[in-house]
Amino acid sequence: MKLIIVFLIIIQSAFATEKIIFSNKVKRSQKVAIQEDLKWFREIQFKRKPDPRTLAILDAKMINQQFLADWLFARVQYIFDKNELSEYELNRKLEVINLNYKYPFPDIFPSAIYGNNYVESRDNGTVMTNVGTGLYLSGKLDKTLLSYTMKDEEKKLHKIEISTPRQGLIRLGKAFWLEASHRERNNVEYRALRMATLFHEARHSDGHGESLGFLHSICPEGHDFEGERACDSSTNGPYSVDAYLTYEMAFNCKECDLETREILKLRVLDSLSRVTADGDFEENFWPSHPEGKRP
Amino acid sequence: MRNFIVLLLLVIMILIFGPAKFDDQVVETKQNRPLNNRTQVKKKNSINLVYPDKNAIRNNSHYFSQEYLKFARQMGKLKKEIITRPENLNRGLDFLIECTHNNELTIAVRSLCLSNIYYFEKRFNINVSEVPINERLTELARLVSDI
Repeated sequence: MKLIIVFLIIIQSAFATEKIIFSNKVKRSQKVAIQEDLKWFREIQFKRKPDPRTLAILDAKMINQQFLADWLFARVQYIFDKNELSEYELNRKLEVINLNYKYPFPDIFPSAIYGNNYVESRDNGTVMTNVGTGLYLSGKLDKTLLSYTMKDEEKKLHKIEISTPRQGLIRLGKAFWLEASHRERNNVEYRALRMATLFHEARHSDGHGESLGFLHSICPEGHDFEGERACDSSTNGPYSVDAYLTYEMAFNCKECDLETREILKLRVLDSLSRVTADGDFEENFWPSHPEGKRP
Repeated sequence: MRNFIVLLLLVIMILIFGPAKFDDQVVETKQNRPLNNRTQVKKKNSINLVYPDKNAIRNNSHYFSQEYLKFARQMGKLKKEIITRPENLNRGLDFLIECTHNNELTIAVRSLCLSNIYYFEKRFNINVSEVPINERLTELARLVSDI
């Protein structure tokens, strides 16, 4: 019996990160942190009945570690270093593999669309960025199918066909450690904040037509982030996912003390304050079904 | 010569008694803080919690800044202090009310303060009447008050 339990634990820990592929350029400390974050997350027992909004946002009937891990891995697949996918790298490693690709909803784009360069080559202070959705949008705009080649930690090459935002290409940012000291960076509050960010980025892999990528909108006049592209016009966008996931973590986290809980509460409030949709919850609920399919 | 002696005495006194302690230098009370200084963000309030710098938060709009982390940690300490020593409740509530009303703070910080007013109302079975009537603030604060 003991052997079976040990075996199951080993299987469970292995499952925690098996679906995420790290580029060989990702720093070891960051890779280990993400792996440990996922392991920590999978140990949370979501025993408290979740808020109905959490269920609606995640399109779930109930939440548990398995559901949440599957939800995440369906949207996050590859992790890159902050110096990757630069303009230079994109020119070198991005290939056009179909010059006349038939995209779903070919003429429908998100209204929050801006410029024609969807992958910011400079990191302007982020924890992570979903670059896969940016690449998908670029391809869709030009009606070309793109592919990007990444080398994983075992030097194996992966030719990633950007046929859906669900390919889940995430680039780590300069603010990955949230300015935490070396000693603090793996404390429970930082683990929870990084997990919330990973789920936030995962939501950018969703949506179709107008809702594609759940792009952020410009915060309105009078808002704390007035003029910044740091708000959501939907009630189920990345900030809502981030907020409600943090909310559930805060309630169910056994090792979180009062200080940590206040941090998580403030994170919930910060994220929800960026949801600027007028009207009620259901009215501003965007369709989350993704465009395209993983090959 | 006389001036020199006075100066020397002054230097000796500084050396003996040392410079003012950090807290003495930064404490700003409601009474001595000029009204136009209320916009300064690194200010202290009645119980010495440092409010998060709104500009720093705005400048780092894509991540959860250390300003927020520090403030939330202090809030946790304050909460613990009130729970373990309820005689500090009134002082704590004064601060939370002041914070909730402070338009110069982000709505996230104000609603965190309000959520803790709700928390203490429930815990100590009291009613705090001076809370603002702002639907958004109330809605946010109510959501997290039980965490």
